Amino acid sequence: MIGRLPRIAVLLLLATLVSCAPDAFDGGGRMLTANEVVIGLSAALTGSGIGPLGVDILRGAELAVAERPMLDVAGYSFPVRLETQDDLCSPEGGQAAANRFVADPQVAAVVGPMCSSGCRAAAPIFDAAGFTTISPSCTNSDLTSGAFESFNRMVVSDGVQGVVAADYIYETLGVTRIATLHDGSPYGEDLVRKVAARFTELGGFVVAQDAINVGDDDFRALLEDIGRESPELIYFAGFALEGARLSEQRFDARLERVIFMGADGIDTQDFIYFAGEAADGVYASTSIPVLDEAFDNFLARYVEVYGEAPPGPYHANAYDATELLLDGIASVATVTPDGLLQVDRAALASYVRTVRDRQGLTGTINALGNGEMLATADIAIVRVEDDRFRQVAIGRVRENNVMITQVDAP
Amino acid sequence: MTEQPEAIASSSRGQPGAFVRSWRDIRRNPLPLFGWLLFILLLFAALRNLLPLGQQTAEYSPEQFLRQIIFGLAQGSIYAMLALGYTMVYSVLSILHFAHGEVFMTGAYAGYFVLNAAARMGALATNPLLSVLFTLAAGMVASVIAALLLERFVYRPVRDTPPVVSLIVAVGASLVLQQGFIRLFGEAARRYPTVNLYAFPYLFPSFGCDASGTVCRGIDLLDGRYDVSFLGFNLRLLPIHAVVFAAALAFMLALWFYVSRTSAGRAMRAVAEDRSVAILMGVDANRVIVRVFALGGLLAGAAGVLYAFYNHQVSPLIGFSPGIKGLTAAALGGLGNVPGAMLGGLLLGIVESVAPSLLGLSAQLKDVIIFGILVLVLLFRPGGVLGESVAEKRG
Amino acid sequence: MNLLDVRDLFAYRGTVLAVKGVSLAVGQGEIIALLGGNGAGKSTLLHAISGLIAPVSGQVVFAGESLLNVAPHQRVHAGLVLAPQGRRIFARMSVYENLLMGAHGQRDRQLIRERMTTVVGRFPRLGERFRQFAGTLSGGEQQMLVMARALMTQPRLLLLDEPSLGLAPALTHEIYDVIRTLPQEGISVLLADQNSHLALSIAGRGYIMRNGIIIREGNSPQLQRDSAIAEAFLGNRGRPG
Repeated sequence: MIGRLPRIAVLLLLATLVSCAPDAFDGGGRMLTANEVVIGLSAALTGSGIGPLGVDILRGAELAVAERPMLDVAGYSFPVRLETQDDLCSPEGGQAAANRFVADPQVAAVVGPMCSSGCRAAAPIFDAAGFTTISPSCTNSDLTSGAFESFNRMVVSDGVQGVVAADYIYETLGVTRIATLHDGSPYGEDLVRKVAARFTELGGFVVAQDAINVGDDDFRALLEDIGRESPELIYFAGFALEGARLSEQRFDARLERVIFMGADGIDTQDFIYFAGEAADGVYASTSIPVLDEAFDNFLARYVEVYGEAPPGPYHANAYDATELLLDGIASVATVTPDGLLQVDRAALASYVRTVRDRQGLTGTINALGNGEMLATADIAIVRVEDDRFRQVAIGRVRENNVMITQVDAP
Repeated sequence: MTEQPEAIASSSRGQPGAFVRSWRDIRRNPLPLFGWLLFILLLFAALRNLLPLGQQTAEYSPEQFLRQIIFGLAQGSIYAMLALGYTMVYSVLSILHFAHGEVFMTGAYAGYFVLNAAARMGALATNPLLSVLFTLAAGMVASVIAALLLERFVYRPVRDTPPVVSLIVAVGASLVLQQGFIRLFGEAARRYPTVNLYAFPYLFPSFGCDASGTVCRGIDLLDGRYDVSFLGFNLRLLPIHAVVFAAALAFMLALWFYVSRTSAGRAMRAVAEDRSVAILMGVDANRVIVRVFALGGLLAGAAGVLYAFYNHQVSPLIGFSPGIKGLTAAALGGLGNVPGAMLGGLLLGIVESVAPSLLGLSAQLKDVIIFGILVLVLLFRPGGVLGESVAEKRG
Repeated sequence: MNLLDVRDLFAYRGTVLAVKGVSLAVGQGEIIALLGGNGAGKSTLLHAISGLIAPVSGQVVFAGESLLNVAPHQRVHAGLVLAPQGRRIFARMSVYENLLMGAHGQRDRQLIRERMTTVVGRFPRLGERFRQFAGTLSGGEQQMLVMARALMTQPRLLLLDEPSLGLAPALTHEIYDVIRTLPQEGISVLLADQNSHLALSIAGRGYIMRNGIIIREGNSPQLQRDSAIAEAFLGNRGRPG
């Protein structure tokens, strides 16, 4: 034991030195020199109910890169490449992916991570290395409270999604008693808080609040417990597997008349597969791109390349994030005398944080300076009909007013 | 010490921590005191929730209690079937068969392939009973094979090493199986096709009738739910709950009969108590051990398929949680004790189902409650609820 | 031809070479005493003969057949059984079940019943305790059960390891009276005991072991004299094992 102690001390010392290194050699570490443009992509590409979300993000980014295979800087042309890491939609995964990107001398900037838990864990690592990241899907509202310099997101925060969801539940569905459930993730916890706050503000009652563990299989007793408060709707912020179980098992707990609603976490085809017949009539809120010609073209190309409709909601967000990073690199990069690409990380970060009035698929991109790229965006309310999520309404937040427009079935 | 009867010797020895006798005992070993305090705290919390003392918006009614118990019994039956496997292997080899959860998963997976094939071929619609039986058989066979492979290539080579070696090896085997399934079939979960298996039209003449009401096929065993009024309680009963429970009970009784009444079972108990003497009496210990693993696999396979009929999703990772719970159940009932494993499983299922509501805690904490209770029980009764001695059996 | 022939046997107990080149023979219908103090290697030798310990070298020939490749549980069915030292009964089984374990593998219920009657006839005390858990028996009764259980296998050769260890004199005599009659039933006995006087009183011949080798062999009267000398000389008695 005594013999081991000094070795641990030496290791600790080394670790401290290594973690101090970027600060100690400031300038060198924050200036990227490379012979190609490498964009890191961190998303969960495996895992039931979660993988499809990540694959959708990857495809969005791929389409953006496919459009610009070469980046021109000062007369030179550099190939563009995506470097992918599976972040497992977990804190550990996000951290591991971040560490790999930070250690890779080629990576210029990162699209991702995918889940709020991963974003929160990865952000300090990216901060320390002076990286710029744009997440297409981390919606936890705390992430942009100013703690992280590296974090940006091309998606509206849960604040917006939660508000629209609450309004839709109260105003359109006419429900006054809801129960909320989340899966313990920062994403779920935050979203539920936003929904509950807005719903109470509107005059509704949140009659039960509880949380579940990811991976649990039997929620019947919990649903029974919730049922005694006779809610009219169960709002679940989490992912597809648990969502499907809850939705299905509510039939066993005599809650079949209670509406089940989720959020973007369950807006996947996986949810419908796993919930089976119990998917029918389930609602979800999800952020959507601006429905215009540009998006239609993008979607057409997506279907053409991948042979299927998007399995998740974030393809456009990933596309916009990748585009913005490529533009940023093109505008701040220089070329060294020996023909290498050079990117000042600080300049790239400030480029991203000061973008104004840029038109993207997801809407008008206006950086607020705290990492939010989309101050407002449309939130769609979707509902499962004939084994597909279909839009039933679109919500828009303008200065704390929510406007909901019904969508007619196509 | 020539003629002192063993019984007296063992009863006077007592079990450490079994009773709190005096202040001196408490000072020497304060754990039971903490146990009591925790127990009183839990009791208080439960009472606070059962009695309407304001602040509660809706009371927790006996009806709800009963409904949750029924849910708990079903899930607990799954745990019980797994616990039986743990307990048998433990009694014979004194090792924790940590990969048992993966044996369970293997069964559920094999069942999925058969059931899915049946659904694709249309056999599921034309002959649901046969399809279900085939699914069950496939699950059991696959689990038995998995268990036997584990015995032969994992446990046997380390059989006579210190227990910690076999434990580590078992954990490793569990991971290998899990990752192997991920590599083979992907990490993605799959959904068991919905099966409508109608049965007992004579017992339930007004159930499962078609639109015209002329043909009635009885209750839907696997996917039905029926609202029933019973002693003034409004319950929603799922036949699958009864199926799972009946299966667990039948397996337990069969196993108990096998162990206590047959010559093979006697050989098993002999090997459990003293392997070398059993060998000296002409028992082929290897064969007994193989049989134990096969039986454990059989039960785990059946449990896996029933679990999947009941909870629908299967993935390479589903073995972990039921596996741990089954092990907990076995410890709760007393490792090495067949009825104890059954009791432990049911108890665990019920506690898991009822405790969060009863104590007014979040459902997220149900695992914390379960393992808390395990600690409590083992504090008071180190040998489990049914108090089998887990003291060293062999030198 | 001898029933049992052990030739030049070497065997380990754990990491210690406890049997170093032992040769001995048991003839049909004989009672042979195996004498020696604690740690002389008697138990190891018996374990090696019964197969629980695999010998490093040497031969064990039983009824003309080498036992080298015969699994220990099969040796029982061939008629070679060891009643181990230290009251190793199945404590959580009834006396009846313990005895049934002796007839393991025998499917003929009638035969089992006959054997049971014979064995209980030898040890009437066990008959009175038939349904009791074996763990509740007294030490002497447990020792009887160990022997009775071994006899249930209907052996041709019974290896007895310290049957009188820790027993009151009255019980010891009761057990020895049974052993004495075994040859009449066609059961030969190899009897290891520290109480050399007692063992030699019923044995025809004997061997004295010390430190893993046989230091003396001969017929009983001869060894009676010798062993007294040997014990005084070599200080075997009470040596820690």
